[in-house]
Amino acid sequence: MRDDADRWPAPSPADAMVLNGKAVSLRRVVPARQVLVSGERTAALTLVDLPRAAGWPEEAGDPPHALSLRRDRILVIDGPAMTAGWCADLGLAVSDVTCGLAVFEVTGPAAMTLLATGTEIALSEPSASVLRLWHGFEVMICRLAGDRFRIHTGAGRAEALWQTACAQARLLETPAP
Amino acid sequence: MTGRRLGKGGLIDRGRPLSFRFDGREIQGFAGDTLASALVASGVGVVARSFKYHRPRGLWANWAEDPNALFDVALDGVTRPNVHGATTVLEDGMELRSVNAWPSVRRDLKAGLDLFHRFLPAGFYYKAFMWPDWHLFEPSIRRMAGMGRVEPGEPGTPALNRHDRCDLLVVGGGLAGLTAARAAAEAGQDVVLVEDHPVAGGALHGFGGTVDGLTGAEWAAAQIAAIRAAGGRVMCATTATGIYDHRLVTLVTAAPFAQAPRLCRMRADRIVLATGAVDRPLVFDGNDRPGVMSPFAALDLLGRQAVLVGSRIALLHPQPEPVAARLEAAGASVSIHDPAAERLRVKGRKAVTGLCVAGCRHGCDTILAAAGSTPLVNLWCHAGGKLDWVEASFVPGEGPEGLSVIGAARGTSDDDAIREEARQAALGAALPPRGRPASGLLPNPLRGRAWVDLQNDVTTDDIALAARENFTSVEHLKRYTTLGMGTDQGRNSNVNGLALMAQHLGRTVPEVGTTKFRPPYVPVPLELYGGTRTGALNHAPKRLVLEPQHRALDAALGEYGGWLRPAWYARTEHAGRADEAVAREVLRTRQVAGILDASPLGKIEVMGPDAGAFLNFVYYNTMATLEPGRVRYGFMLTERGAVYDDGVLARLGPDHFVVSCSSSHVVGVMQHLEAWRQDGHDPDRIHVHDATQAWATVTVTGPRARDIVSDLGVGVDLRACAFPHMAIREGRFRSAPARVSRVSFTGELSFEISVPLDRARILWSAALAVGAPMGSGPLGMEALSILRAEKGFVIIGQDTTGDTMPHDLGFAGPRDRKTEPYVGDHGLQMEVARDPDRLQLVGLQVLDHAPKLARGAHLVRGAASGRPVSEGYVTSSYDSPTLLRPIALALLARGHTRMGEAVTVWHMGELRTARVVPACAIDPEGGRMNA
Amino acid sequence: MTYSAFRLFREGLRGQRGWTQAWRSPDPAAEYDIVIVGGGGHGLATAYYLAKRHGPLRVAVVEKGWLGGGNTGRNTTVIRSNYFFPESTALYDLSVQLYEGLSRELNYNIMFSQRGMLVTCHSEAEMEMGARTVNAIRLNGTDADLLGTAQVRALAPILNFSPDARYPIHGAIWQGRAGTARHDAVAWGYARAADSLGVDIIQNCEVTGFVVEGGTCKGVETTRGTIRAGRVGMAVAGHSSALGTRAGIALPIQSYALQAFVTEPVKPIIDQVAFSPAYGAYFSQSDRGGLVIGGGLDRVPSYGQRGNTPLHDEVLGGLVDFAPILARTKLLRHWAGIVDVTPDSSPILGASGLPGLFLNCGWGTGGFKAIPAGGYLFAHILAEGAHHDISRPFDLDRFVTGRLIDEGAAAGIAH
Repeated sequence: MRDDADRWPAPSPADAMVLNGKAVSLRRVVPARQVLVSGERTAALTLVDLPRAAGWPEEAGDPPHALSLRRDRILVIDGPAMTAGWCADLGLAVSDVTCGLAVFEVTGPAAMTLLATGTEIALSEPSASVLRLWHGFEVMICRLAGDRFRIHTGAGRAEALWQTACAQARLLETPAP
Repeated sequence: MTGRRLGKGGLIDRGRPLSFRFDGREIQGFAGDTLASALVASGVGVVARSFKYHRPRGLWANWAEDPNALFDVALDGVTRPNVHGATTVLEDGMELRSVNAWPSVRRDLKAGLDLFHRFLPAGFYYKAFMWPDWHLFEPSIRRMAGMGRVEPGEPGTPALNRHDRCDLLVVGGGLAGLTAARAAAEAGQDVVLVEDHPVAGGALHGFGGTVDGLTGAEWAAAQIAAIRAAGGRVMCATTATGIYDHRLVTLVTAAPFAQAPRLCRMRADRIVLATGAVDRPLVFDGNDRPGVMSPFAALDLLGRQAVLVGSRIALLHPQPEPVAARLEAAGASVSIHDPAAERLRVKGRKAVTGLCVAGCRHGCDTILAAAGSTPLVNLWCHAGGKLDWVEASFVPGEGPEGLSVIGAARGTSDDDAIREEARQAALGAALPPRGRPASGLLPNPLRGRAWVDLQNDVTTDDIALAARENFTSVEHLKRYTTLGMGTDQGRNSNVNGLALMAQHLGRTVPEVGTTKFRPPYVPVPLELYGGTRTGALNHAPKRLVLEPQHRALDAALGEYGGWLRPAWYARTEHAGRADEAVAREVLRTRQVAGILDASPLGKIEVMGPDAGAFLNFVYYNTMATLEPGRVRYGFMLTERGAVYDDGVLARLGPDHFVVSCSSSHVVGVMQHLEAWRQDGHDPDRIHVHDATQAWATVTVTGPRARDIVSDLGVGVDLRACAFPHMAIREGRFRSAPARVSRVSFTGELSFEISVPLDRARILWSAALAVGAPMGSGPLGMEALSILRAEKGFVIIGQDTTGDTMPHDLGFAGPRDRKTEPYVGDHGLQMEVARDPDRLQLVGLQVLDHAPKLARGAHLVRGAASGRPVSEGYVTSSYDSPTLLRPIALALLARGHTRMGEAVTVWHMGELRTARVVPACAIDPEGGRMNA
Repeated sequence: MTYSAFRLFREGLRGQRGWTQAWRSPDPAAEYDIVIVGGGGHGLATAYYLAKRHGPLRVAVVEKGWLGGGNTGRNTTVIRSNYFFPESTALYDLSVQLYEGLSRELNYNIMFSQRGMLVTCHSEAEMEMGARTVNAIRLNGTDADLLGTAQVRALAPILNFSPDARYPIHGAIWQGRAGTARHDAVAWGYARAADSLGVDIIQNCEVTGFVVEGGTCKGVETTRGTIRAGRVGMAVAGHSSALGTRAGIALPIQSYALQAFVTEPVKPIIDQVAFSPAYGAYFSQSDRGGLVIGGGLDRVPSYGQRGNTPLHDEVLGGLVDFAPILARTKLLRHWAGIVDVTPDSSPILGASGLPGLFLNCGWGTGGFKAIPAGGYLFAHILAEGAHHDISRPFDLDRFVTGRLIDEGAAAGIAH
């Protein structure tokens, strides 16, 4: 019977996911809380006590902040503690997915270039949603500020996304011929 | 040809000599040479052999439109077939081998084929080789076909591919493109200019002369500096290979030989094409001989690489004076002849020795011949632009929004007019009316052998043949004769071919048609694609948070439903006997308990006041009556009534459900739920969240499961009276929420404990530690497959097909009794759903002491007659450690009514017998699960 | 005129002057017994078999562009009959059998090369599904084998057998009688043979509507006038929905762009057709030396009818993973066809619902291999007004009875 244990190197622990470079730096961060809130936008922002949910390329700022996923869904990072389930007063659905999304910070002068290796993305092309496909991964890409960005993806894909980002970052560090 | 290098001039660096070999012969060049220019400079005349007749070929053009100079190249262990000599930068140490010639281009054994050319016209292979059989001839034909040779070599590094955008993309860095890019950049637009040569300037290098008092090279450099100073971007050695929907342009940047080129997908608001034009070959007798060249190529070689192609040059050109003057200034003697003259004929075999004009022989070593100019409109056509036939060329006509063409590509030849067009195009304004393109000559059918496609050996006779046989539409002409299907993609041959066909038909060229141009504009290596999504990163499986724990227990790992999961444990201890490890885990689970990492199980939260009604609609089973705290098994069907997924639905509260679908179907189920949520329901009253990856699930399953879970501190009353089978309770584990379900996939008493991912390790370790003294242990996927099969529980997609309906699996209730609508209800009432011969799930038992059945074996009837007919197949088959005999599941026609029957099993022609038994082989009453 | 090596020799000595037209360019007559709309492989084959086997009949093929110019001239030329269901095997193996004798029958070398097809299996589970499929194919009466790693490697050593391969090759489903043919030659061979039997092939003639009298289809309206017919057969592939609407028929068809790729010619490097579902690509090598590559459908339909770039990474990236030695071979051109896909990805043959109008469509990504069978069966349907045993299961009414023939479902995929 086939055993693939030796075909796959053991995944990197979260705190080892750090790559510092001149052009771009990557590291995994672990937010304290990530909560999905679905329902009407104003009601959702009221529940989480935040002024807005950032799309692209709005600067979300350092957490706590909210990201706009869809017309009727936001992801709240480091927001207030909430009861999961259906909030009947406001007509909102709440799910705590803190551990379910791996988050990576991408910083540096070539951070946008790294992002643009995996999808069509530009600061001049706005989108109401931060959801994208990046190198085939379903992700959320948000801008914190300046050249600091974050990529959120399903926790199960953290290792593969990390390897992909590192491979692209290494190519970026090599000067073009 | 007697090409030679001039002592000065050109864009080469004489301070950096390079050496390489061609068919074993050592040759010198300089930095700035291409393979082709270095060969010509060294006096090499024959660089290749043609595809069909193996006639000697020299260089025709000095860039992408050259159809001849192709080589297999090796450098430092890296090999590439069909390297295009005129566009490939020379590097020191390259080894070139001629393609499709043996032993070398100078003496090719297959040159004898040319003697038989009369019997090998276009399409000859369609008219013969039918008797006795094509397969007899095919191997030889295949060996003669093909050009370069694919060799193993060092793998490359993946290229950095990226996406980009700009306001204006200018393709082409000649007079027109540089003018347009500069004007746009200085007007504040975000401009990108791409130029396929390493050095911009386009035709300026070849034509010589000055622009604004500067040489071509100086002027080009000054424009580039100005463009960059104004914030524009300039990419040299970058070819635009295709235009796709909504002005997406693929840009390929050349790299050193050993590296992959780089791909940029550029989205442009507007595109200006300044792609220039090439010489259209003159069609005359013997025009394929080495030494017959494009006049512009001769100038370009002179301007870029300081190579003079010959000493005694015969020139045939509609406007010859500027060309002749330039070549004479460089030291050649040039004789001018009328390209429209009668009875033009080349003298010489492997090199030009002379030109006959109406019977008079003129000695020469080079013939530069063109009939006119062909604007390069490939990209324009990719984008859907139309072509107009004006004078003797196709120029851009009507086209899509946001795309314009300027300069020689538009048919404009006057420098001032070009610069004016460029400035207008830069600002997005309407272009001045198109001037008259320079006139040209169209070919006539003639006597003698005259070439239209140099690489594929298509002559004027072939076109006459196509006309005679009624292959008169342009696509038939092209496919029948293979005109334009070589690596130059018809740049040199299309117009001449169409013009000849038009002559034969007595029609105009546009009436014959225009061929499509297909991307890429130049051939690009396959390694350009895929990027880092190759090898281990090609659809990499998802990873469990508990993977380090599994590895610590020496787990064998495998891919299950897109996740890397433990297949069995203690692999080293059981090396070579994995089935024993698996059997041990099965027995341990049945006798004590097994601890399973079930984290990939789908956990989709469905919330809202309409959630219950919605789920009642999405599920086959009635879910409206599911009470909070209860769990129900159910199927989701396709609209056709086929089982799409099975799983359990848990109700946490009036408006809060958790769909626990199979791990391999999470994405599909999410899409299914989202689609139906928005169709026929109020989406503001139902929300669906995929929380699968936020929760880890540890399943404790076995007779001692309750004892183990009681010691874990999950804060739930586990007594059977308080917590029955198919129920869910919410508790807490180490100050985090915990959900405990009594659901069983093994048939044993089972508790599925779900906690946030960051509590997973503690829970897992605790469960193992508590259970170890009792004799429990970890449970892998292979053992799980056997445990569930012993109970007759299906795996969707393995024990079901895309046609299987719930009543085939024994679940007929809702089909007969559920009155509210649900997805698939109509499908379950179709004629096929009522067919008594449907495949139904059964178990199979082999005869005593017989080995297990092969999975994939078919169940047949009529074996005795010698024409067995399939009536089902074995879907799961294992040796059961619990029962100490093989078990199997199968889909069998009318299976439910054939209990106890003996059936014939057919596998790769071998026959066996088995007996139909219920699918569930252990504890059919379910007492163990319900404990 | 008969084609042969002798004729080539003779004409070679005479300067090719004796060759005659491969087909005429007749003007349309006012009326025919049968009018076939669509001059692709299926339409031309239908006309041939009508003239050959059901004569004497007056038959016309009406083609809006140039014959063979649709999907017949754009596909990846694979011919096979390794299907799961007996109904499919009967259909596609009839086609393979007809292909086997076709060059001689048509007196035109279609270069049908039966060098075999490998569908690679990359896990134990895939091998077991492969066994289920091989058993089904053999029970259906045609040839198949389940090969192991060493056997696949002996046949196609350039596939990825490296220990680092993402998807190791455990084996493959093998059909030895599968292979490739020259797609244009199939169209031209049928056209020439049909023409020689008296069929009028009318190119550059677009059908704009149908003549319907008393609820029956009695002909077609075209850009070159009205043509009346006893029966009309439609074989227009990706245009079936649009043209069907003009006859008042709604067809359960969705059109997608299907891309194909060809590389520069290289010396022979693989003899078989190799398909890896896991890597998402398949390829073969044409007799001219180019590698012909295909994969899945574009997810989003394209206005340019040529497909878009995201698929290139998937298919070409997957191909290089499947056969790494090809990394530096160069892509020469790529294009797309518009394929008409039915809910079960099986074709539609038979009555349309409008009396007098019959359908041959819905072949999706698999029409080329079926050209001879599609033509043979459609000719029967048009001549007899009734089904052949092999075509009956593919009638449009299967979407009412639910008796779909869904090969994807057989592989365990519910959709």
